[in-house]
This record gives sequence, C-alpha cells and structure tokens, in this order.
Amino acid sequence: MSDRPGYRTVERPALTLADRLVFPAILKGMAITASHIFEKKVTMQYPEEKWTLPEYYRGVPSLVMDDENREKCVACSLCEFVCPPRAITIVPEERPGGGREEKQPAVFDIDMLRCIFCGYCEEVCPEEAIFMSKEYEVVGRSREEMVFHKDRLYEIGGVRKDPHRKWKNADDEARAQGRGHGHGPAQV
Amino acid sequence: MTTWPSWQPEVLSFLPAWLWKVICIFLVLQMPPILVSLLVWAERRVSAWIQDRVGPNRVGPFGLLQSVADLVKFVFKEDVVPGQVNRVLYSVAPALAMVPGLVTFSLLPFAERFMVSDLDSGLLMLFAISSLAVYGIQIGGWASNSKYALIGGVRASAQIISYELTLGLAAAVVVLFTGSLNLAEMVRWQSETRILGLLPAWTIFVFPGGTVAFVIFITSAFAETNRLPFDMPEAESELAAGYHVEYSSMKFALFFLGEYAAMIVMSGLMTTLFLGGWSLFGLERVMEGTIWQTLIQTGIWWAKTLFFLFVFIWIRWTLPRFRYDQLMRLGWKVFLPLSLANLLVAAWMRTWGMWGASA
Amino acid sequence: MPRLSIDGVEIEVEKGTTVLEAARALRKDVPHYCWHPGLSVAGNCRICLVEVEGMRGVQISCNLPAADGMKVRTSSDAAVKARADVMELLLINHPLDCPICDQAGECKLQEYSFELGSGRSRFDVPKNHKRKAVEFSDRVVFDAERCIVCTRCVRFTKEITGTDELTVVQRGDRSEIDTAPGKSLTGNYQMNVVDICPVGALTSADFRFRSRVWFMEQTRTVCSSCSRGCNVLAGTRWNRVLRLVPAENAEVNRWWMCDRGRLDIREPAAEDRLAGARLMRGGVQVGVEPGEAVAALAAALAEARAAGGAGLFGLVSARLTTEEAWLARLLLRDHAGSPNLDLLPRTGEADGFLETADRNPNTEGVRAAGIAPAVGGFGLDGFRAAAEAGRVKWAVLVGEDLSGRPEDLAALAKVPFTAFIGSHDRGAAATATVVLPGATWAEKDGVLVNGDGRAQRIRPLVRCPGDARPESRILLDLLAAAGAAGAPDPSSSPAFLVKAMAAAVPALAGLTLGGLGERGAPLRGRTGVARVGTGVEV
Repeated sequence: MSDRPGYRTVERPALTLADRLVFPAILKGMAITASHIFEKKVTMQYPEEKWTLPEYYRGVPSLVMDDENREKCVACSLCEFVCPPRAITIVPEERPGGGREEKQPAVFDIDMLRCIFCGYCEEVCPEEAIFMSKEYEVVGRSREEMVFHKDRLYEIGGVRKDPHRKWKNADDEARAQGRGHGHGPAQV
Repeated sequence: MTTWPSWQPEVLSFLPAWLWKVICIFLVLQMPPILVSLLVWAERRVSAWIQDRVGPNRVGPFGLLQSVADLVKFVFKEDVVPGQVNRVLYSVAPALAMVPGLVTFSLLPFAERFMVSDLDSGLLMLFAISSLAVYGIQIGGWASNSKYALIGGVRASAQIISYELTLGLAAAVVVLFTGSLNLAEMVRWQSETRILGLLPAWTIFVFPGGTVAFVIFITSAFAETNRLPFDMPEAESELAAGYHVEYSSMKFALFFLGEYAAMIVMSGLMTTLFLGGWSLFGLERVMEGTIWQTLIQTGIWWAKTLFFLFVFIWIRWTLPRFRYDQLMRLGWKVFLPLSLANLLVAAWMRTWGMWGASA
Repeated sequence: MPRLSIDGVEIEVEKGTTVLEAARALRKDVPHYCWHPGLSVAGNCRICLVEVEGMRGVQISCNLPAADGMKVRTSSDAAVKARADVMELLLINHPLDCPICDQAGECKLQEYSFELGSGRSRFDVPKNHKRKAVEFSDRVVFDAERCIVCTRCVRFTKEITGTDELTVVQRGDRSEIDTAPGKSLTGNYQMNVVDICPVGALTSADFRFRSRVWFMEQTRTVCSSCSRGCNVLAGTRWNRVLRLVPAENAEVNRWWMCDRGRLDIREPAAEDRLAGARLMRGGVQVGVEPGEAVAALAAALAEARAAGGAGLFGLVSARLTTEEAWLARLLLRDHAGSPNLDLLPRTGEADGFLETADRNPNTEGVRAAGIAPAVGGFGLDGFRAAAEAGRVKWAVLVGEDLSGRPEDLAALAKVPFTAFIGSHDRGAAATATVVLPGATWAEKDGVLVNGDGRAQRIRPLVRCPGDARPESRILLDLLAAAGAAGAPDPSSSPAFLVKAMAAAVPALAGLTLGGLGERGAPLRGRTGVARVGTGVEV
C-alpha cells in the first residue's frame, strides 16, 4: 500500500519480551487502577449538593404573573400550537373585570410526561407569560399527577418583575383619551 | 486417616461430636449468602473508587445494607417466565448453577479444627463438584430458547472445559509437592516445611514450579468463574447478558449467587493450595488447642481469601474483555503446554530437592 | 365586451365588470377588504390598488370598470408599494391584540400585514383608543379599535337584510360602526356580519374565545336545519362542532346562512345522547349489547312479516340521509310488508330569503326513497286512530322520538312493541321495547336532497358517543339479521350504498356520492351529474 500516493505505512511497534509476556502490563494497569482508589472523588452528593444552573438552563415550563399579581397569559394558544410533542392544553375563557386582555386560560395544562423541554413555548409567547424555570425535579406517582395544571405552573413561575405592560398601558391611554372599556350599548 | 471428632476444639469437647458437626455445617452454610452480599457491595464500592466515584453509600453505614436492599428488590420483582422456554429446565438451571458453589464450601479447610468434611480426596471432590456448575449455565442457556442465552451457555461450557485442564494441571503441582489430595494436609505441609530453612514453603514461594503453577491457576480461575477479562458467556456488548438474559427476579439472583459463590470458593482454593491456608509465620500455632487458635486460623484463612476476592474485583475494573478466539488460543496454545512443562519441572524439583524444602 | 390584459394575460369580460373581478377570474390575488362579491362597491379601504398603463398613479381595482385595451399590472413595484403604504395607515390605530382576537388565523389584515407590513410602527404617539367588547346584540360583539371601517357590515344590513341597523358614526380616525342609540342588531341573519368582517371587529358571541381557528378541522358539509340545505364550513375540535359558517354556493345560499342553522350545533354534544342499546325486560329497560337489540328487533319484524305487515307502522325521519330512508323502506316495506310508512313533517314560516317553510332537511330525498303510506295503509295522521283501535302491533321509529307530540306518544303507548332508532334519549326512547343508539347530522356521510331537488353531500364531523352508530349501519345490520332479500352487504361503504340506491330507485337514478362534488347537483331534469359552482371564493 505504501506505493500508493497519499498513503503512509505505519510501522507496528516492536514488542519487547516484557510486552509479550503480558503480565507486566497487567500489573502496570493494576497499579494505575489501584492508585485511583485513593484519588479525590468527583461524585456530587445529589440531594444535598446541587448544580449551579447556568442562565440558559431550561427546566419545567412555568407561567408567571406580573408584579401586580395578574395573570399574564391571555390564552392565545400559540404555545399549544408550536409545542412539538403537543404537551400543552389550553381552554380559553372570558376574563372577568373588563381589562383589555379580555381573555384568560380557564385551563392551562402541561403534560410533563410529554414535555421535551425545548423552550419553544417560551420563545413563541407574545405576552412573555411562559418561562422555562430552573426546576428539574419532576416526579409524580401517577400519570394524572404528571399533568401540571395552571395553579402548579403559577406556583413554579411566581411573579416576574417586568416593566412590559402592554394591556395596562393601553387601558391607561384609553382612560386618558376619555374612552374607557365599554360593555353595553354605544355611547355617541 | 483421622476420624472427625478429633477436629473438635478442646474447649468444646463436652459437645457431642455430631452436634459440633451440625454447628460446623450451620456456620459454613451462613457464609456464602453473607459473603456474596458483602462481595456485591464491595464490587460496587471498589469499582466506584477505581473510577474516582463514591459508590453506594446511602443504605446503612457505608452503604453496607445496599445488598439487603438489592435482595428485597430481587424478591419483590416480578418473576417473568418467557413463553418460549422449556419450563422445567428453565426453573432447574439456576439451582444447578448455585448448588455446587454452596456444596464446595463444605470442603474448604477454614482452620485445623474447623471444616465440615475432611476428605482424603478433598481436592478431587472439590473439582468434581465445582465442575457441575457448568450444567446450570449450559442448561439455563439452552432452556431459555434464546439465541443470546444459547451462545452464552455454549461459550461458558467451552471455556470452563478448556480451563479446567490447566486448572487441574496447576493443582497437580501442589499435589506433587505435598504428596496429598487432602486439603488440610496440603496446608499443614505448607506451614511446616521451610524453604532454605527460613521461608514457609507456601507453594507460591517454591520457585519456579509453584510460582508458575500459581500464575496459571489464578488465570484459569478467572476463566472458570466467568469473571472479566474472561466474561464472554455474559458479554454485555455482544450477548446482552448471555446465559441469564431471559431470567428475572429470584432466578436471576440464584445465578448471581452461584457466580459469586464460585468466586469465593476459587479464592479459598488459591489460599489453601498456594498461600498456605490458615498458616501465617507461626501465628497459627498460638494458643495451641484452644478455641482461640481455631478463630485465629479462620481469621488468617479469610484474610487471605478476601485479598484474592479483592484481586478479582481489582482485575475486573482494570482489564478489558478478551476476544473469544484470544481466550481459546491462550488456553490451548499457551497455558496447556506451559502447565504440562511446569508439571515436569515440578516433578524434577520434587525428585531433586525443593530449595531445601522437605517434609 | 371589453378585452383587457392583466399581468400580461388577456381576458374578455362582460361590460360593467370591474378590474378586480376580472383579475379574480384569472385567479390573481388582489387584496381587498371592503369589496365583497355579494355587496355593492364602496371603494373605501384602498388596499386593492393596481397600476394601469396610461393612467396616473395607482387605481383601486374594485371600482374601476374594465375597458378595452386596458393593461393592468397587479403586482408591479408601484402597486405593491402603494398597498404597503395603505397597510401602514390602516395599522396606525389598529391594536396589537392578535393574541386575544378570534379573527387571528383567518384575518385578512393579519395576512396582508405579514405580507406587506414592515413589522414596526413609525408612529410613536399613543394609539387612538375606542370601545371594546360592545354587544351589538346577544349574538354579535363589536370591537371598535380593530375596525377598519370597510362598511361591509353596514352595506349588509342595508342591502341584504334591509334592516339598516348599522351605520358609521363620527369622522376621520374617530369613525366607528354603531347602532342607533338603544337599538341592537336584530333578525335571523345578523351573524353574517361576523363572517364578512375582514378583521376581528365583529365576533360571534357564541364562538367567542372557544378555540383558535387554526386548531379546528374545517369540513365542508350541509346545514340540516331546513330544506334550503345551505352549504357550510364546519369547524370541529375535541370531537365537537364548534361553529358553522356559510360556504359559498351560488345555487343554494350564495354567501349567507341564517343564525338558526348556524347555532344548531348543540344537539350532537347534548347531555341526553344515547350511547348504548336498551331492551325492555319485565317492564324495565336494561342496557344490552347492540347485537342483542338488533336481534330482538329483527325477531319482532319477522313476526310482523308473518302477520302480513299490516299491523306494522314505520315512522322514518326526514332528517335522515336518503340512503337511510331507502334502507328503512327496504326493511319495513319491502321485507316486513308494512304499507304504513310516513315521515314527520316540520314546518315553520318561510322568510323569503333563505329559510324555508319545510324545516326538514331531506323531505325530498326521503319521499323519493319511498317513505309514504301505500294504498290501503295509514300515515302519521291515521296512526293515532289505528293505535287507539289496537290495529298497530308494532311501531318502528327511525330518527324520530315524537318528543313534544304528547298525543302521538300516548297513541304509541298503546302499541305492544315499539322500537326506537335515534340519537337522543327523549320521547319514545324512554318507553320503547328496543332502543338502538343512532347518530345526528354531524356524524353521517350521505346525501340530502334540498327543497329545490338538489342533492348534496353531508359529511361526518365528529365521532358518535359509545355504541351509537349512523342509522344506515344499524339498518344494514337489521336487514342482514332479518335476512331481507336484495339488501346491501352490512359492510357497504357510503359510496356503495348511494350507488345501490340509485340503481334501485328510479327517481334517484345516476346518483353517486363522488359525483356530487363540493357543491352538489340538481336531481330533477339533469342529464348526468353536473358540477355546479362559480369557483368564486370570498
């Protein structure tokens, strides 16, 4: 093969008698492994010690409230649409109170047995209402328990301080223009 | 040669002989399960240490009760019997694999006055019984009616038959030196004989015949017990789990138990044949005739055996698995001629003197 | 006949045709909001701009009559730039509430904004805010902020319904649609304004927030609330029909449908749907396997047949498909020999627009299939007297439970053996000897013939609950169990059933399921099966 251009013959290393007897090599190997018995251990004692998670870590998806404890989600269902494993189920309903949001999720379920933690829901959310939390300990005793309902998702997400208040700003502007939110017949 | 009541420690001489025997049997019968569970724990801890990990340390002090947890798991696991198996043989095989490991315990001389049976043909008996383990493996592999299990079983039997030759020839060297097939007699010879009037004539020190025999024996012991680097019968990467791939729950646990019991017996045999058994530079003669002497001798014997068990684990986590053809080549083309030659050398030594060692 | 070229393609059109219509005939996509094929031209949204050679600037194509020799470019740079500018103006005050807007997904403003918009507003002053969630009526909700004042809805009430309820109030960027003070939208056609609204300004109170439109499966089928047979597009999700909107069919309903038909979507998901077969045993109905009920009914029909069939009364609903009616006739008349077959008429008041007096969707088809009293037999009118006289021994109700007709139910109670095959646990279902769970219009595949003799296909939208099955399947099983001669095989496909029926019934000769296409075909006086339709979409 060596006469072929681009090829190079690699000489096999000549084995010494010690190599051929094998046993010295075995003993050498045993010395190496034995030395590791006394090395410092790298194991992390998990429940007591935990990782410091990086900023970009994607844990359980969660819903957040704004700093006035109002639901940010308006049940637009884009996350339900974009979710690759179809883990999200949303049933919208009319939001009481007459804010400009009008809509809220009556049901917001994420099936954590289906969720693949891809983060598309966070990415697509136009209301910045769903965030991938740092929570990764997802356990349950039944399939039903592994479907996270709205209250649990809010519990994980909590309150997010966020200056972005689209709907409230619009409400304020409308009030300033003397045009409140109107249910009922027209006022000319 | 000797009637067995004489092995009773004097302090316990008020016991009827048969009762002492029953106590011996009872004590010895407790050894394999306890040791195996310890060994499983040790295997996992040592492997972890070698890999810079910690290993099981949660269940009980130092994780010592891990094996108990494992056992509970085994007991409560579903006993799946696949549909395609030969049900009778499938159920018998695990027992067949385990029983020889337990029976051979009765032949091991733990101390001068502590053994279940002191047979003049002890070594032959031990080889005869331990060879039966291959039936359990082969039958389990066949009865599973699965290609992985069958190949594993065939490999195991071929491997065990091949290495039994060299194992026997290496042991024959010891028989040649000590002039006895009685295991206790062999130990006594080793403890009482001196090399050049100094070193106790443990077979391993009787160079070159004894030393070479030891190397051949320990290597063959690995092959006999299907331990890495010779665990081809269960090679995970090729055969999933080999002969016990179709087994679950307690049936699997019995295979497991048999395998580890065989490992303990092999270690004990190496201690007895090559490392002077219960003897340790005269320590075995302290408090002659009391129960303490028996305890000390048992302790010495177990210390040596545990060392060999550690070596078993140590080797496993050091060396990669052989290829099957390499295993066979090593057995038939290297070790068989070598052990035959070694037997000649040993015979020559026996005739012309063994460094002054003589009984 | 002016001949013009659009994007280099020559077309000859009727005099008076607009450039937009000519372009649509060529399947050129010219954006439009205020223009609607069913309404007059307003020309106020300005998005349909095209460039015409020789004319200054760009022109709105919806109000530009096609002229001979005209050279139109619909997608020239100038036209597209002008449209993009119009979009920017339309979006100045349009709120960014697509996430909560029901129109999202089928919104022209959203689509063209995506196509033409910059994605960023150049206006940094606050948006002009208007009223939201104004209830124009209990069926229509209005959002003034989203409105682009295209006046489609205003023109609809002026031109189609003549009710003239909506108008534009205020001026400039304050303009919005409103009703007269204290008045609201009225009538049976008001929800059409929701359909024609190109944005999310007018939304249906019934469908509001029920589902995003892109999750729904859209199936073209036929409304079964009257004999008009309006073509509809049904939106289904979670095995439920969530809404019906009209589908264009120039021969039937054009672009409209009535609110009554539109809101008639509750029955398939009603609480009292029958999900299992039942059998009367010792005076109590007990649940049984469907096969057992079928066998029991077949045995009763064998008795009736042996008795000559005169004591058997069959009521076959005119809500069933034509094939089902035909199968019922095969079973009850041809096999069991009953001369007493009839349907239950439902009448209302014809409103002169779409809704007809006959509120059964398939009277024509069921009659054509042979459901009518034979000579010497009695119909529904004669049934009461016959039952009181004890002349009716067996009664089989297919698809009709007689609920709301106490006299008929009282007469039915005199009949020793009654069988009910139908969808709801009402009326006769409670007292029938045999109950077999059937299907509603939303679960069937088959042919309906409307009042004008037009055969149209309804399609299954959802699954039946439990053991319920379309009546055609139950009747096929009954025919097989009864050993009726000449009956189609129980595993026949819907298409095969139609074929077999067309071969057996002269009035329906030549009918095939596939031949009906999307828009159906007239049954009477046709030569072969013609596919009718203009191909125009809204």
